[in-house]
Amino acid sequence: MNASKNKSIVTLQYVIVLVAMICFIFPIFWMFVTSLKNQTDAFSTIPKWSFAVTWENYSTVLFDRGFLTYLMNSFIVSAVSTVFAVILGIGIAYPFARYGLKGTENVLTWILTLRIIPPIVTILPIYLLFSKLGLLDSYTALILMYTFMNLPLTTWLLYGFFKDVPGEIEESALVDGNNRFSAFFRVILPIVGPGLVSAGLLSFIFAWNEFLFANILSGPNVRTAPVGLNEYATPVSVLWGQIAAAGTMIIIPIAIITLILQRKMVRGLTMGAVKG
Amino acid sequence: MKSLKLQRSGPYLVMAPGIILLLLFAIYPFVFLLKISFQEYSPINAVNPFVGWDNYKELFQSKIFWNALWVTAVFVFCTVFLEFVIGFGLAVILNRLTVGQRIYQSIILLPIAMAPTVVGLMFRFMMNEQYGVLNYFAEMFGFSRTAWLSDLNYALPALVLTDVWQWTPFMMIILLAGLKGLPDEPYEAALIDGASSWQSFRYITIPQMSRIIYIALLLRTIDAFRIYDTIYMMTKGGPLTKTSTLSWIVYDRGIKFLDFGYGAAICVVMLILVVSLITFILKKIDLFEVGNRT
Repeated sequence: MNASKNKSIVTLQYVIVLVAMICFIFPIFWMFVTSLKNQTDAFSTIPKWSFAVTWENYSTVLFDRGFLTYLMNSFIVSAVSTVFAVILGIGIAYPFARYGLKGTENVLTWILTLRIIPPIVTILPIYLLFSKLGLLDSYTALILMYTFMNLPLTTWLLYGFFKDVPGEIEESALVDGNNRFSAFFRVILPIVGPGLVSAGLLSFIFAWNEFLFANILSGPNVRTAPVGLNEYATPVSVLWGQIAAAGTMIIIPIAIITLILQRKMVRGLTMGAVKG
Repeated sequence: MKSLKLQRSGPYLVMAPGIILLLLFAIYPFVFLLKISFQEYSPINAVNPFVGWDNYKELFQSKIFWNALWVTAVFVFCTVFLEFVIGFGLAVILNRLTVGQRIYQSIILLPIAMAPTVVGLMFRFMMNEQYGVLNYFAEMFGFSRTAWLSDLNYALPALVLTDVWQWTPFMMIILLAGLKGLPDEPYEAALIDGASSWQSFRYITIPQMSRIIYIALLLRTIDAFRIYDTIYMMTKGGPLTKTSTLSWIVYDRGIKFLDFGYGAAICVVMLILVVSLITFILKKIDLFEVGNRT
């Protein structure tokens, strides 16, 4: 009796999980399907499950509507700002983690609060400042902004990773005749390598997905992909096939990164507070 | 051989560039905002006269502000509550499964990593009255088709639904990581003492998970509080002001209508709100003792 009750509970659990999984995947699946439909198939009242697959939306968006350029802009801005955020993050995190400097906890807590400030609060003054400096609609503006945005994240993650490296390792490297710099580059850096990669990939995701700063600071010259996507959704004509194609292209690189990171994402998403 | 003095200042030199960048981007906007919140400030004005507390008075007397505060509060409460309950439930179930846990975990990460702009447009498409697939499903279950996003009653729930779809996995994955870190012994002891599974959940799981629960709730609250991208893509604050959150009115009033002083006053209020929240939560959790020591 008890055994059959247990069995039905287990079955129920699998059913719940399966239903939840379908709910979380369906919208993504639906967007991809829509991107392969022509205009009439996409706009049918009763969804069409079988249709003639067309790649036209992709080619139109990429080549006729400039999405390729937007993707390139996004890539440049995200990649460069990620490199800066990781390098500057190492600079802050390593001394704090290794030397137990005075005020470590206060400074790190302050850095954490920067992650908490709503971006809309920063954008008003930054917009005016950048317009005075003539930086609007430039790569520099977005790269600076995203480096700032991701620096608290990389600092906190890297602080955790450096803390995990026992101090003796560096000391024995110093005994072996390294100075502080070569000890860091030859011994410590390889150990935290995987941590650096995941911090970098997460920063990349956040910069790649960012819309508010990009929408306000960029103009026709450095429009990023999420801003470009918004352009296709004018109130007058909404070409869902093309939007779906553009949306799919925005999420493909991110989906790949997610699959690489897997459970390491947990640590990143919580600023290192929860280890996955 | 480097001098001792240089060696001592080494760590600070390495830190300087990052810290300076953070200071510039954090302190400058803050001081500037505080200043212009007392001005009638517009970038196209030749002079921006100081007007004392006028912006704040206007703010606290305007319906728009109180409405935005209310909409934001409802949105934050509903999304965080639903995401927590559903996410925790799924995490508990998933933690017991023996088959397929890994694949489920990696699939469910996808919504979290997606750009909110894409998610917003995707849901706008699915909620469309004529050809939205959600309306098709609703009709299948006997409901009538609704233009969710332009309906006074459904626009905010539609935004909540979208947010819940995207961020429940986030709650789930964090809480699951917490559940996996729990030791087995207390549960075994409770089983011997004849505790029911609800009792062991309530008196063992919840207390032991409290730090992770606080972190998850804090992170979701601050992110729900800043909601902007999905509103921009889905409703633009409408219909009327039904989905105008605080972030949205800063953009709509402050930036679009170039009333920067007024926008700045809202920003200052928002800052006060988040800073009090974080101070409250930081008293509850210890960032350094548990989190960064292994």
